[in-house]
Amino acid sequence: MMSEVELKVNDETITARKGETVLSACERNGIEIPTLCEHDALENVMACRVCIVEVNGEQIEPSCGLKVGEDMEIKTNTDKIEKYRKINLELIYLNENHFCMFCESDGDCELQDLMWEHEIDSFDYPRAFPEQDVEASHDFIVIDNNRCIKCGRCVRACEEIVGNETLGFGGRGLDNEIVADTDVPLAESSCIECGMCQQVCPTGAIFNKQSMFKGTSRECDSTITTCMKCSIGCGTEVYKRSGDIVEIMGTDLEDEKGGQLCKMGRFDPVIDEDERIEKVTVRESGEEEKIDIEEGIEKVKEKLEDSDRISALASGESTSEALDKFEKTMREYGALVDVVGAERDRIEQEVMRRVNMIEGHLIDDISEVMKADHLLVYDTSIVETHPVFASFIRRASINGTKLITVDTGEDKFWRHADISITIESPNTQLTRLVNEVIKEGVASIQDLSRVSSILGGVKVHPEDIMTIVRHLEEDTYDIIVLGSKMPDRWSIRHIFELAKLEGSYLVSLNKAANQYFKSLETEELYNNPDLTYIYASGEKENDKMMEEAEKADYLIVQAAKRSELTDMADMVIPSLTMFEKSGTIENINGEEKTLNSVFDPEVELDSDQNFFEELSAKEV
Amino acid sequence: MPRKEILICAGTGCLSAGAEEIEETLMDELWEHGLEDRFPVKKVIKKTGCMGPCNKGPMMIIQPENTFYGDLEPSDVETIVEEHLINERIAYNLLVDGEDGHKVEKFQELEFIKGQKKVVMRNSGDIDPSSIDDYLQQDGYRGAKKAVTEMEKNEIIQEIKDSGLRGRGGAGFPTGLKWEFTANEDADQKYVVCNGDEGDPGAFMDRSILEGDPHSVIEGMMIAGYAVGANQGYVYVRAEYPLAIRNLRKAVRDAESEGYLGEGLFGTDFEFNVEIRVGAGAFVCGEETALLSSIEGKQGRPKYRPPYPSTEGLWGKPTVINNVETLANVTPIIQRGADWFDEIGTEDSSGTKVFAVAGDVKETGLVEVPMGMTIEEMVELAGGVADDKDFKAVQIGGPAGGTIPEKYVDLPIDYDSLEEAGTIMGSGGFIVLDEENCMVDVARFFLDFTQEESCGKCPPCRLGSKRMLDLLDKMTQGEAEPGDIEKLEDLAHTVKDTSFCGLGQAAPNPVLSTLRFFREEYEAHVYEDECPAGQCKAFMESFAIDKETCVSCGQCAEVCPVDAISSEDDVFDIDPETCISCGECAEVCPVDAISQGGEE
Repeated sequence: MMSEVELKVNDETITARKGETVLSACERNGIEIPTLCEHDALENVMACRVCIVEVNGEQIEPSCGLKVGEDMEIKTNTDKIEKYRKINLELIYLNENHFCMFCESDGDCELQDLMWEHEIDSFDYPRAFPEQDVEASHDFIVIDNNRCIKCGRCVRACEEIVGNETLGFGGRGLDNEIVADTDVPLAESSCIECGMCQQVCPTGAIFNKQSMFKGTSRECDSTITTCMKCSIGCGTEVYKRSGDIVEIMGTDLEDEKGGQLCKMGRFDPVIDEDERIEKVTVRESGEEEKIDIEEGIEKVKEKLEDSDRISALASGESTSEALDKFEKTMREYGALVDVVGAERDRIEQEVMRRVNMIEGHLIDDISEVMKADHLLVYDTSIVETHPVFASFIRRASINGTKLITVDTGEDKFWRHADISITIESPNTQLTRLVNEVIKEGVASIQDLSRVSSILGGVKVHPEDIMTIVRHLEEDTYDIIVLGSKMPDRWSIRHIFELAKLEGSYLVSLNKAANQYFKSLETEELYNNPDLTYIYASGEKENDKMMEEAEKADYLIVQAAKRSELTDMADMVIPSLTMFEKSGTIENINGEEKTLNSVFDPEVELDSDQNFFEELSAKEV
Repeated sequence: MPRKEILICAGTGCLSAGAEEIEETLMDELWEHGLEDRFPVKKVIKKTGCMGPCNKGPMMIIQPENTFYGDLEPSDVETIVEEHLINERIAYNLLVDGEDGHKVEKFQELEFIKGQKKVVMRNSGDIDPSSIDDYLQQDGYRGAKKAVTEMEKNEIIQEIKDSGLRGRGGAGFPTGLKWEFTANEDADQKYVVCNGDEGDPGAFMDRSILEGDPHSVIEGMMIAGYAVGANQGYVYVRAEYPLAIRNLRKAVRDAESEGYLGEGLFGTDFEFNVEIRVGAGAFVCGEETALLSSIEGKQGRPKYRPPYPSTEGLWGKPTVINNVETLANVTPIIQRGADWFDEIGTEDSSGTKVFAVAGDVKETGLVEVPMGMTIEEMVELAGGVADDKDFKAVQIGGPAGGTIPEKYVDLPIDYDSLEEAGTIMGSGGFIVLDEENCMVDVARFFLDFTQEESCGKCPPCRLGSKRMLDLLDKMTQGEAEPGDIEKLEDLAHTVKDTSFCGLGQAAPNPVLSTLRFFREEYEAHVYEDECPAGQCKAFMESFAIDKETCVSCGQCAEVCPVDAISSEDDVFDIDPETCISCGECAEVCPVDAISQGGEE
């Protein structure tokens, strides 16, 4: 039962929820209080002293920190409060370089808005702006301390949302500035280039070099869509102007698992300058011919009809609608169909059948990792393949979850892992050994020499293995995370067995961004196909596609951008880019996410699924 | 016959005045005179903590006769050995001068000592702080034993509440109440933290207690730990106090090995441990939430209260955080009872307070006096204003405190009277200012300190205090414009009322209190281009030499600190651009040829 309290704000009685702040109670009751350092997605630090209110006629408190109390009398706009608020705003404004017309965030600035709102257009105190560092070592993130008001949003975002703890305050008092790690250049720091700092910065202190001079967000059109670079499916808001992407922001910041983006979703698409595939290209005996789509379709049909063994591979970065049509059409021509990432899923299904494992071991919602007591992560490359999910793991670790990592290379969670285990390869050894130790029982664990003998040649400390075993044996909420690098079937089997034995839960990531392939029939492709059709979609190339392309006798590649893969192909067909597509994708949690097209297609296609529709054999 | 003991003050002040050299010379002299058997140095020489009258250092007391020798030079030691130790006669010439010109023989007869009442400084200057045996001989750890073995937890808290003990670190919050809050919390872990991050310029009472009697602080923490249910204590000391850290570390080690820290204390199942954490020199870490962050290994920045540390403190656990001096009061209260303590001092401010007396008085150093002593009595205790000048004001409470003018000399020094007068007890700075102090400059001095120490978290403190300093700079440099006083006042109120933590909230106090009592001095600086105290150089005319009177002795050129005086053919001249109007030249001139403003 949620208890309520009544309090008076500006002589008006409002009802608030017990335990909430005066600021949030006022916001819900339509009473406006200006704020600056406060941000919905971040812990309040009560630093800027702009949201101050008067309590019971005497004390002055920041409304973002003050909890509501019964019969409290709050005044948000007395002369005194207004005066103090204005002085504080003026102090903030005058201390740094806020010559707005020279600032990248002119028109997009929360400080500027507050100055307008409070009609502060002349100053009692002189401008100060001592010269401070401009940190521009990074390829696209710039931190200009001269425009930084030290609200600490970026520092909080880097810790609370990204879990990376790269940014912090250096110096004291007037020497306060934002620094990376131990004050190293950002480009050399532990920064994972997610851009969260930039998204939450209220002024022009942190901005994206790529977006400079392209216009304010007010001057842009924006489209809310879904990122399809990995299976998290983060919500994005894409700002465009004059046919160019200006910047990409995360959506749903107030949701604890929302708001984040990574380099792949926020920065890479803004500078994608690869050559576009515009026409159907046919390469025959060293000659290259460009033909239009209609003619191309006929040509592909011919080829498909003439071939016996057809391998059809689709990228996981495709919409569900396109995948659906792709599979149907290819089946009509008798092709074997596969989707990048599906192979891993097939192995898992097989393993689960063989070890009699129920689906319940697989976690429905990957953000659950933030609630785990212990996390055992196999393959830390998720930091690169699923960066936002990696943030959940780091956040868990910051909040006290024990993090154990197992990797064959560098542990990409090394700053956060409680136990970090590097094994030569493959993962099989370690998981098998852990299992054996577990089976031997806790009694044998006391005997170190016994453990060592079981462990054989693996480069780990027996104490670490024992710690893992103890952690997992405890009656706690344990989750095992499996990265998308393809471990062999035996590794998967061992890891799944371990989960079953210890009652741990599993999160398993594969390479497909769209998990819709799970609703399709997929299978292993021919070893010696007559024709290989690779639908690379918006993706450039990956190991699986290259592997199939190598096997091809005749290769058709459908892609949006030119790549190594398209250069190999006998026939190249255009596809829509990530921002031209519309439709849906299914993310790792099984949620259907909507993709809205940001741009009209630049090529003759309306959509990839229409292309497959037209390619359908049925019409013939 | 009681054993002969030679106590040498080895507090930081006396060490820098040369106490170690005195000790070495004493050992040499004992050897040279073949006295090493009669006076075995290890037994006879005892290096103590601060004795109090710091401006008389280096100093020694010879027991049991209690003879006090101050202002010692190494050459004096031979006389003391020959006269006092061999001939058993007091080395009369080496005694310090008393007020009436007579020599003072015994330590307790010093004017500076007479008016004091020692509770927290009870052992400092008397025992060897590095010896747990010395502490045990002074009934050490008996208070803790009594608390742990004979008293219920709530009895202890009640005793502290009844005693009226209030926090000695600044705001004067009732200590017993603080303990009660933490005791009432239900938690698997609680902590006791001792705040030894004393940072006020010129304040060194906490340092002296930690240096001179570290066990008393540990014992106070232990009693607090027992009363609230904490088994772990942390002492946070600033890195600038190496001797305090050394003595404290030794004390913790000794207490552990002697069974006064650790498990199963006093035959019960009570466990208490103490760890020492060294601060990195940030003034803001004296603020309790910033201090706790610093212990946790985070940046020393304050946190919003509530929740208060008593409910959510160190690592989120209920934590009692008390200042050094507060904790040093605990053991005597437990041993001698709340009534005894309550009778000292005034009704609402019981007990004593240690002050660091400094400024324009004859005697400076540490004094411990009963609460309620008047400002006048304190100044008298310190021998009155030096150099026969007039008393103008006293600055109490350090950079967070305020200035009290001459008309309030009868003000009793207790928490509430000080607050009414616009200042705070603070940690106990007591700086006497004579008529030659410019109050604008005094405010500027303190603000310069606090603005430098702002952590930078909130704009009013980080920026507001700096803008205030800019205005005060303008005033003292003669560049202020009409309206600047009002701007200063606006800023001061904004900073005071909207700053995040105590540092910022108190930073404007020196400005506000000088504005309250000495506004006319501010106005003189702004409107009349004048510094009434004659301190601000900007308003002074440069000095000039009357060539008729000058005898070309050249002494003026020699003393000039900025080389503003040059001579050509024995005619001396002062360059007015370079002259800083310090007046040194006029003072040395044998024929009074130099004056301000020159010939006219």
